[in-house]
This record gives sequence, C-alpha cells and structure tokens, in this order.
Amino acid sequence: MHTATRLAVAAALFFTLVVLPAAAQEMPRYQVFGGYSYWRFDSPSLGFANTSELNGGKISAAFNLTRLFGVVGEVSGGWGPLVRAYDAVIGPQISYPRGRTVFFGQLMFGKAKSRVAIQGEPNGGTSSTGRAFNLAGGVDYEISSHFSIRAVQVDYLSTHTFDKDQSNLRFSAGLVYHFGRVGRHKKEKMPAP
Amino acid sequence: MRKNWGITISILLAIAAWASCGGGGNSSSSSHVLYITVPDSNGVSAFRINSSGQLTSVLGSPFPVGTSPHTIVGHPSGKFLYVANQSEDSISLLKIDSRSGAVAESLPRTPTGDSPSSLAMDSGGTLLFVSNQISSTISVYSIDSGAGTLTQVAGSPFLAHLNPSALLLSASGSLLYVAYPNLDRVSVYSVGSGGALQEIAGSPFPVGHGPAALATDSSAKFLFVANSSDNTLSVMAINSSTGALTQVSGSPFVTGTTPISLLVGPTGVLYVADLGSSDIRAFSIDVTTGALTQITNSPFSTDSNPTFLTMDSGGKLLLVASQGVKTVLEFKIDASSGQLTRSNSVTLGSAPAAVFSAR
Repeated sequence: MHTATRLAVAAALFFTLVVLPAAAQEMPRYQVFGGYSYWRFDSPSLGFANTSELNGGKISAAFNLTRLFGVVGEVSGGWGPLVRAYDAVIGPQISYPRGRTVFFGQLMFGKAKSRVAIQGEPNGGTSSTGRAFNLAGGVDYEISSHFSIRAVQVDYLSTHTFDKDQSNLRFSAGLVYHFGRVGRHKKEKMPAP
Repeated sequence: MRKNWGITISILLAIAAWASCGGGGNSSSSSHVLYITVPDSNGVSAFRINSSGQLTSVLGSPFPVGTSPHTIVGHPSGKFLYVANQSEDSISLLKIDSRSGAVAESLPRTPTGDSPSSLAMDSGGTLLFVSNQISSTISVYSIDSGAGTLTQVAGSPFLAHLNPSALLLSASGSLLYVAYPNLDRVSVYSVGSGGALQEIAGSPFPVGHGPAALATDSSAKFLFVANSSDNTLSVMAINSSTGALTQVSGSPFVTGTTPISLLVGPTGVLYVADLGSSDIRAFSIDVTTGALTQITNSPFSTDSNPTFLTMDSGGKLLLVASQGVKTVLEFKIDASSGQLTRSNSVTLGSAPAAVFSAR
C-alpha cells in the first residue's frame, strides 16, 4: 500500500477510535508554529545508495475559521551532507480539541526544491524545483493561554524534483504560539439566590 | 486524561513507524552501481541497481570523459574507474562517490599508445594493462592506491604483434593473454614483479579466425577464445608450468554468428554473446577435457546485436550491452543450472560499448 494511502487510512482510524465525540472546546483563532524537523529524504530515487537523513526546521501559520476547520501554510527546510531540501505548502487543516490537547490533520500542496551535492559539478551540485504534496498529522498540548507544545507532527511529503518522485517522511516538534478564540464558550453558572 | 495522552502518543508513533516501513523513502543497502561507456556521447552513464535488479539513473549521469570511451575497468578498492578513450589515445581516471554513485574525472588524462582498445587490471589494483591497437603496443601502468593516478612502468610501452585487441590477465596476475584478430593468434606474456612483459616460448599460439574475446575458467585450466570471423570458440588448455596453450580435443566448437564477448559465470557456465545472431549461448565446461556442451534452452534470445557481457557484482545477474537497440539488459542466472531469464533493462541515448558493475 502506498505510504500516502497508509497515512490517510491510519489517520481516519485514529480519529475514529481515539478522538471520540469531543466535548465542546474552544480553539485558538491563530496558531504560529516553529520547531525542529528530521527528514528521511528519498535519495534512492536519485540513484543514491541510501535514504538521506536531514536536520532542519519548520515554521507554519494557521487560521482557524471554525473550531474544527482552518487553513495552514508552512515553510520547511532540511540539510544533510549531500542533500538540502525545502518546501512551501498550503492547505486545509482539521482540528479536534480535547481539553488541553488538540489533534490535527493537514493536507497541503505547494512547491519543493532539492539541492544535491555532486562532485565535479561547476557549483558543487545541482538544484531542481517541483511540486510538493504534504499529508500531515500531529498533536499539540496547551501549556498556557498563548502557548502549546507540539509534541509531534508526522508528515508524508511527496515531492517531484529532478524529474523523479520522492516519498519523504518528516517528524517535527516545537512550540506553538496562539491567540484569539473560536468555538463555543462555557457559560458561567450564576449561584442560586 | 493521562491515559488518553499516552494512548494518543503511542498511536501516533505506531503510525509513523508503519508509514516508514516499506515506504518509498527506504532503500536497500545492498545496491550497487553500473557504469556504462557510451562512445557517441563521450560519456559514462551510471545506474544504481538494487537487490531486485531495478535500475535507477544516478543523478548527474552521464558523466563526461574523453573522446569515444570504450573499455572500462574498476579499481578493487571501489574508489576509481578507468576508461580508455579510443579516439583520444588517453585514459580517464574517475573518482567514485560511493554515497551517490556519481563520478568525477581527475585531470589530466593519462596518454596511451594509438587507439587503446582494451584494459585489464590485476586483482590487487596495482597494475593496469592497455592494448594499443594501431601502434601495436601494450602499455603497462602502476597505480597509486591513494590517488589512483597512473605511472608508466619501466620498459612500457612493450612491443606487441600486429593490432592487439582483447586482453585478459590471469587470476594470479602472472600471465597476460592478448588476442590478435588480424593474425588469428593469441599471445601469452609473463608479467614480472614491476609489470614488465616477456612473451613466453611458443607464443603466439594459433586459434580461429578473428579472435575477439578471451575468458578463463575459475581453475585457470582453460582459455576460451571467441573467433568472431568463423563463428567458433577455441578452447586452449593452459600449461600450469609454462603457460603455453594447447588446443583441446574437439576444439574449435561451433557457436552463433559473430561471437564477440565471453564470460564464465558463477555456476561455471561459459556465456557467449553472438553479435550477428543476437543471442547468448551458454555452454557447460568439462572440467577434465575442456569440451563445451550447450546447456538446455540455449541459445537465449537477447536484444539486437549484443556486444559486451559482464557479471553484476552481486553475482546473480548477467548484463548484456546491445548496440542495436542501445540497451543494457539483465538476465537472472539460475544458481544451479546457469539458465538465463530476462529481467530489467535500461535504454540509453546512444549505443553502449562496455559495462562495469561496481561493488
């Protein structure tokens, strides 16, 4: 089964089994994430012996239209001895808040750029830009009124560079800054007279 | 709440593990690279071959070398390739990046005699032999193990007979066999410690018409010669003391049209590429007499006009370069019978000349 299909099926099962009908919760209107990323870049698609392990970072910004649905855009980069990779994607985000925990899924499209070091090339390497598709999911845990920890985000990132398809896997973690609120508010109970 | 949190994290980690297992981001660490000379494009094409025999072009391929590259050999260290540029009378030294499979030429090129046509290297990677077809000489170079650079040994180039072509160095490195297509002869030279060549008594030895390729069995008892002009194979017994050649009973043996390349495979079967009949013939070898017998289902059809045979470094695939359709074709070798089964192939922009499979 293709990796993207696996992730989609797993995400659907996950949200069905784990995210039971959630109690009504507020969601931040705006979310800004910044953190560390670890990539497993599909170098064998370019004739390499092994998958390249890249270290890098990611920033993203989300705008939640409703408690459950929003739009997110992200920019990410990863660096290794032979490969450097970047992507910029945008798309819808679905969220399921449960108390302080927010589970989310993302489906984004955009562009990717890969640069590969090749000995003998005039500039030490060659670059290519192509399309990118990112299917992601993760979990945030709120630690204060404006900050959450993104414990993990898993991305299946499909890129098309150098006329080849790459199936990449990426793991991210970091800090989320959020502000504004959207969703149902709990009414304060007035004491009985 | 804590329990739900723990369950959530466990499931996310399991998703990540499942997605990463067997997905497109993983590769086989047993892969290696094929390097193919393409004379018309003055380049070397590179393809990574995985454990399933699937081929992926190496990024940056084809890599430029000199004019009309033909023969290619690899250093046993896996660090260097050497390519004979036939129209430029030179050898290109290529350094291999083992992670990517890419190669880069290290200049300047090493000059050879006129029209270098064949290369041979000893198993230790210390000496490189080059047959110079038009100048009728054999150049011998010592190889620097660190940089891969070539230095001509004392006495080189050594005078040979008219228009030497195919070269074959014995497994021990002590004998060099040289085919002379225009003389219908094969010479045998002893190789001195410094690479100096000395033709042995009785050499050159008569074979069939137009000897184009040479091979030996694993025990070095027999020398096989493809006679491209009379469509036969000469089988010569090798005197273990002197190196002298004697034709065995029943030789020469009939093969297809224009046998042009030979290879003894891991099962002890002799494979012959027939350029004119576009097939691969496979012969079992009698270990006592050297007599050849075609195996069941031989000849095996291949792409049009095969010109070169080599063994994949994994030992399970026979690789055939075909000039007619500009392909390199894989055949899976049956480990017990030596039977061939067609597998993957790559198509190049121009006709391939030779293939080297790196470790």
